[in-house]
Amino acid sequence: MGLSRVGYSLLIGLGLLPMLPAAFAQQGMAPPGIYADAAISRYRDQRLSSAYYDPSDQVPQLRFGPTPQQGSALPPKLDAHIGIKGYMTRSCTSCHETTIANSHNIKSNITCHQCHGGRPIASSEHYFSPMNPIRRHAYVCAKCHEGASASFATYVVHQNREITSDTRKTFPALYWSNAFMLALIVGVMLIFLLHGIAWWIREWFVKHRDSED
Amino acid sequence: MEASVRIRRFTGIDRLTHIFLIITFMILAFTGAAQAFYETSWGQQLVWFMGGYQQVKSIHIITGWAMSIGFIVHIVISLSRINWRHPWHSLFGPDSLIPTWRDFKEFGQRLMWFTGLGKAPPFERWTYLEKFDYWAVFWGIPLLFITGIMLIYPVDTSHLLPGWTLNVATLLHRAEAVLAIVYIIVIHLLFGHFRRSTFPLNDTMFSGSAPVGHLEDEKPGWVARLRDEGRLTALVVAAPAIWFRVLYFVFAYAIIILGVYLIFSALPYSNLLHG
Repeated sequence: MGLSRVGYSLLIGLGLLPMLPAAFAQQGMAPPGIYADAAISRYRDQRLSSAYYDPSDQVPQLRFGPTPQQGSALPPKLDAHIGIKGYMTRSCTSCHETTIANSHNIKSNITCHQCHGGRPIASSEHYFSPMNPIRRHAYVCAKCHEGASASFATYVVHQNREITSDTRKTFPALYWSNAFMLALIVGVMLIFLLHGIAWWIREWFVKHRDSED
Repeated sequence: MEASVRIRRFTGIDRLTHIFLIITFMILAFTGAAQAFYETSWGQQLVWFMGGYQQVKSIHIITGWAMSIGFIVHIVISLSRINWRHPWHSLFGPDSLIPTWRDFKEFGQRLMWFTGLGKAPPFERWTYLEKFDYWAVFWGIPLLFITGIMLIYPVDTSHLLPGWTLNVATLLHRAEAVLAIVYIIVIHLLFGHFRRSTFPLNDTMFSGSAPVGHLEDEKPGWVARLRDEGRLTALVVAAPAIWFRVLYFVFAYAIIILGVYLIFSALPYSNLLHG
C-alpha cells in the first residue's frame, strides 16, 4: 500500500520546504538560511548578487536632472506583476495609463514590450532587470541607438507632457527651462501686440502727404 | 527732391540674404510643425503632403544646415562691413544695428506719440523695433542650431552632456521655434505690412529702395543726415520694373498667406488653447 494520505502530504510538504526562504524574500523581511548574510552590511562592497536589496543602498542622484524613478517602498521584485488579477489578458495601459504618450511610441510606433522586455517584468531597480540604470543603455537603448552610453540612458522617455509643480522637484532643469520660455513668449508677444495695435491705431490720425503711386 | 523719388535702403546682398532667410524659415517652420503636430489630424495631412515622416525629418535637418551656413556667411559679411579704422563709430553710430541709449529714448518717445502726448521721434536709419527684430532672430538661430544638433546626434551629445539634457533640448527647440514663428508672422509680417502707411505691402526689403517722402515720415533723422552729408542724391535709384514688382508682390503675399495658414491651423492643437 505504501504511505497513507498523511504520509504523502508530509512528503510533499518536505519537498516544498526549500521554497520557504523565497516566500520571506517577497515580503521584505531578512531571509533566513543561506541568504541571511545579505542582510549583513559589512560585506556590501564584496557581494555580487543575492537578489535581495538592502534599502539603505544609495541610488546616485543626478544634480538638476530628473530624479530616478522611485518605484515603491518595497524591495525590488523579480516579477513586479505577481499577484495581479487577470494580468496575462490585460494591456499595459490598463494600469499605466499615461506612459503610452511618449515620443518613442508616437513617432516610431515602439511598443511597451520592445523596451521593457518579455514577462516576467522585474522592477527597474532589481539587480537582474534590463531596465536597471547600470545596464539600461546597453540592454535597452543600444538595441536601436548604437553606441549608447550610461549617460544616454538618463534621457527621460516617459516625460510628462504637462509641466506641473511636481516637475519642479522631479526634473528642475526642465521645469525652469519651461518657465523661462513661457515667460519669454508671453512677455514678448504681449508687449509687441499692444505696441503694434497702438501704432496701427495712431497711424490713422497722421496727416499724410498725398500718396505717390 | 520729389517725394516719390526712391532712394536705396538695402543692398543686393541684404535682399538676397533676406529672401534666403524667408525660404529656409518657412520650410523649417512647416517641416517642424509637421513633426510637432504629428499626432493630430492636421499634422498627418501635412506630413502626407510633404512626403512622409522620414522625408519631412530629412528636409528639416538639411534646411537647418542651410540656414546655419547662411547665418555664418551673414556674420562674415557683416564683420567685413565694419569700418575697422573707426570701429567705435561703425559699431555704435547711427548706421549700426547695435542697440544704443538712443533706442530706449526713442521707444519712450514713441509711447508718448502713441498716446498723443508727444511728437513722433526723429528716427535714424534703424528704429528700435527693427533692431529688436534683427537681434531676436540673431539669438534664436544659434539656440535652435545648438538644440537641433543635440537632437540630430543624441548619442554623441550624451557623451559630452548628460542624457537628460536632451529632454531640455527638445523643449527649448520647440519653444524657441514657436516664439520665432509666432513673432515673425504676427508682428513682423502682419504689423509690418498692414499698417496704413505701408499697406498693401512694405516692399522696401524686396525692391531695396523706398520713396523719399515715405522715409521722411518714418525716418526723418536718417534722411536729414543724408542730406547734410550730401549723400542723398547719390542714393537715388530708379523705381523697380513692373514685372519685378509683380513678382515680389506675389511672393510676399504667398509667404504671408502660408504663414497665417500655419498659425491658424496649429492654433486649435496648441498649448494656448489646451492650457
